[in-house]
Amino acid sequence: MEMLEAKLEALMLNKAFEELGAKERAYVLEHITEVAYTNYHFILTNTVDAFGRDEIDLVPNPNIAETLRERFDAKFLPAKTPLFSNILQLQTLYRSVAVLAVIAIISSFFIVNKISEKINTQKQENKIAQGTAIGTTEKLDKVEKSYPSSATAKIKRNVRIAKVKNEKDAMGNETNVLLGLQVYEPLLCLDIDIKEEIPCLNDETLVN
Amino acid sequence: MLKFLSKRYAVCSDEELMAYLVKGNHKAFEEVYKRYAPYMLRFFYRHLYQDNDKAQDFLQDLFLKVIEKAESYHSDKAFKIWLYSIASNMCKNEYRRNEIRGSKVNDFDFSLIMDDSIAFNSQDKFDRNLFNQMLTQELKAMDGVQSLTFALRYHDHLSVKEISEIMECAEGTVKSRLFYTIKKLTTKLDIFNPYKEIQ
Repeated sequence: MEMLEAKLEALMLNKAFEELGAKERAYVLEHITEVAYTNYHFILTNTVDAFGRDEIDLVPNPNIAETLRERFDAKFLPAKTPLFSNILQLQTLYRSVAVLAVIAIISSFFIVNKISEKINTQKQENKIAQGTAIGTTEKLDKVEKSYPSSATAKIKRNVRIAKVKNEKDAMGNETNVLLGLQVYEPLLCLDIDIKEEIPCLNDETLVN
Repeated sequence: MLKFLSKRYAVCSDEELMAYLVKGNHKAFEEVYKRYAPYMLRFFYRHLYQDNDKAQDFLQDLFLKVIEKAESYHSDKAFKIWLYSIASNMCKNEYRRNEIRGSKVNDFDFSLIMDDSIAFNSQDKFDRNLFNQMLTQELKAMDGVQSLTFALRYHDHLSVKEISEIMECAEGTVKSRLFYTIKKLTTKLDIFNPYKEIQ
C-alpha cells in the first residue's frame, strides 16, 4: 500500500526537487521518481496556497448564537427560579453589583434588627426601674432589680416567714436531733409544709 | 472594576471550558463557540458543496450536538478531535443522504472565473482562481472520506494522528488516503502543471 510518509510529505510541501540536498534526493528516490515528486510538489503547494486563500469572509449567522442560547438554557437552567436565571444572565459587572446589593440589604436588615432590640431592652429596663421605685427610696443593684418588692410582696413574705418560724417552734429541736437533721436557716420564701414533706414527723411514737 | 470577579475564560483550555460547560456555565460555552464557530463554518462550507446556507445550518446543528452531548465528552481526548469527529460524521451522513437521493454536485461556474479575470486583468489571478475552482470540483467529485481526509490535513492543518482519531482509522490508512488523493489530483489538474511536458 502506498503511503505518504511524514518526511516525504514535509519535503514535498517545502522544497522543489532541485532544492533538495543529496541525502534528501536519495531518500525521495527510494520512494518515488523525480517526475512524480515534481508533480506532487506542484499540486500540494498550490493546494495549500488555494486553501489558504480560501479563508473567505464567512461569518456565523447571529441567529445561531440565539438559538444555541435558548437550547443551552433549556438544558441547564430548567430547575432554577426565574429570578435566579435572570441573575445568571446578567453581565458580570451587573451580576457583581446585584450580589453586593443583596449583601447590603441583608446587612442593613441585621443592623436595624440589632438597633430595635437595643431600644426594646432600654425600654424594658426603664419600666423595671420605674416599678421598683414604688414605696421605697433605697437603691437596688442590678441583681435585685429583677425581684419586684412591692408593699404587698413584702407583707406576703413576712407572713410566710412567720409561718415557717411557727412550724420550727412546733417541731422543737428534739425532732431535728432525733432525725439527724439540722436546720440552720429557716426556708425563707418557701411555702413548704415540713410535716407533709417528712411524714414520719407525725408519728408520735418516734418523738416519745 | 469588578473584573477580578469574573473568570477569564479566554485563557482556559478547551478541555477546561468543557468542564465548566457541563456544569451549565454559558460563558464557557460562548468561549468555545467563539473559538471554533468560524473554523467549523468554513469546514462545512468546504465539504458541503460551498453552500453557505447549508454550512450555517450544519454549524448550528454541530453546536446543538455539543450542548446535548456535553456529558459524553471525556477530557482524555482533545476537544478539537471530538468536535471534528462530530462534524466529519455529519458530513459523511450528508454524503450518504445525497448518494441515496442521487443528487449531483453543482456545475462548474466558469463565468465567475472569467468575470474575475476580466475585472483584474491578471493572468496569475485567472490561473489561481481556476485552479481553486477545479480543485474544489475534483475534491467534491471524489469519495467523501478521501476529500475529507485531504482537507483535514491541508486545510485544517491537523496531524495524521489527529485525523486518524477523528476518522476512527489507522494512521497508515490516513497516509494512504492522502497519497491516493494527491495522485488523483495530479492527474486531474495536470493542465495547470508547468512540468507536465517532462513526464
